[in-house]
Amino acid sequence: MALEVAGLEAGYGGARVVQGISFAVPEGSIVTLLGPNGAGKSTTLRSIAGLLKPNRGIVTLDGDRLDGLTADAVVRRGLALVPERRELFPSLSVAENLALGAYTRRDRAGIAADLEMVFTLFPRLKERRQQHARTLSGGEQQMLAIGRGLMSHPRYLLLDEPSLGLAPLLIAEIFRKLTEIRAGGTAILLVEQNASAALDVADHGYVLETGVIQLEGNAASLAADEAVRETYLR
Amino acid sequence: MFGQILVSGITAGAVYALVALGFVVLHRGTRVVHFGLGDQMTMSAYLVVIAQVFLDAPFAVAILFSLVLSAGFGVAIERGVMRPLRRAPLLVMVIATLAIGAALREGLRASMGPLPWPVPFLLTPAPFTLGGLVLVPANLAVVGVALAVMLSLFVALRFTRFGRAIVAVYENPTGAAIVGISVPSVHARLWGLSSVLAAIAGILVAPLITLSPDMGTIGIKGFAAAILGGFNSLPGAIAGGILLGIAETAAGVYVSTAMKDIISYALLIGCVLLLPQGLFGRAEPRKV
Repeated sequence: MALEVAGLEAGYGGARVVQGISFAVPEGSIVTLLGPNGAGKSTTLRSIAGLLKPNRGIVTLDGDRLDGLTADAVVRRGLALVPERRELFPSLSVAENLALGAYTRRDRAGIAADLEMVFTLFPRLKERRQQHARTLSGGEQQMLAIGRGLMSHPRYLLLDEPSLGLAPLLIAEIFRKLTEIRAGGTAILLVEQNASAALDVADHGYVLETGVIQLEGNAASLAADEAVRETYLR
Repeated sequence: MFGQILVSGITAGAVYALVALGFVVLHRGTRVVHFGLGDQMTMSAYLVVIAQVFLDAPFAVAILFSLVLSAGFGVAIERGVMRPLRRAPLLVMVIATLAIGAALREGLRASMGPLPWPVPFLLTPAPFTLGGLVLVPANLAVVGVALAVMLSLFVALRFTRFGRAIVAVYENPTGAAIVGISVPSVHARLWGLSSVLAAIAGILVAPLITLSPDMGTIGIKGFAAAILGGFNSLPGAIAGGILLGIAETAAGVYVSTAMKDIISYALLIGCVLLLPQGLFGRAEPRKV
């Protein structure tokens, strides 16, 4: 059981941003995709989530083909994307944003339980549940984006640069939550530029450069790797 | 006198408000301004006549027939014209709506003739007086129906799954897609919804003016009302419609009936020049 990507090629117009990459996110694990700006990390996530049609390659979720499906169909298969720009509903309240996160579901009891789970994970969201999303701080918006993703009860959660624009203390807090989410049974594919924070929580990692995977390994060995240290950890 | 102006103004304004809602509901979700909406009002009124005269349907059935076909027509525009054009520039889509309007208008002229057809009133047009005001049941019915439609629209947007998906697309189409909402199917719903709003307005207004293939020019009033209201706000569209109706009636009484239309367009131009975001609209920051 895993999210598996094989020979994925994707890009915009004529530009091939992702040039045939393969990797896997096993059930219940955190896998991180590291790499500099423009390496193709976001493009990879957008292709998996159905926001971008890949040019070539196969994406399977526990054996089901995902490639070629639209974004709404991918959510129904059990995968949620938390995009880099968060893409919240700005003039709706925190509670309404979370409710829309559960749009694909009909099980009222399950939705209520997941809402409690999100509020336990991020108590700040509970305090602000009547506030409009646009009035939240950057960190709170990130929490809301993750919470909204969790409301679809995904088996796999894709996170695009959750640390972007956040203060170090807040980054640490959010990354701690990722291990709690994994403990709840949701696997995470974490795209990050902040390699040290990502490798701290991840089980396995891949390094993407100019659309190609350059390195892979378990998180501890990557964190110890000279090349990774030099380029990303300093 | 002023009370009488309010009463007449609100009747016209209720119709403008419905059309304005039709424009805004669609534009907020799809960015398309549908210049054929006025002609869809005409089409829907003709559909009532067709069902009554040629199919011998009772009035209520004829209205239902018209509303269902009108909604289907809107969805068909999305599927048949807008979806194939989705990668085309917005201007191309807007020009396509002009073409749809012209085709409807001339198609009706060719098939139904240029002469006016009678459309039944919802209630009797015989006036009665109440506290010094002359009231016409037919006009009160227009206002009543318009209010009920607006109320149901707001309730649907707030409380139904159908409505929540529309609101999500209004707020953020990418965000809507990643929570599992099919944005193209919401667009189809919006075309259907906007068409039904225009249909109701057309059926309400047809007995008060005359039903001829050119009745759709009244759609421009709805467009003006939508602009007054900011073009992206639903309450704004309603307020803009009512305001336009009252201003027009007042102009007809205090200046001259011939000046009525000129006054409403002057109001529109003044609004665009002085208050480009409308009376109720918010200036939307464009994302780069």
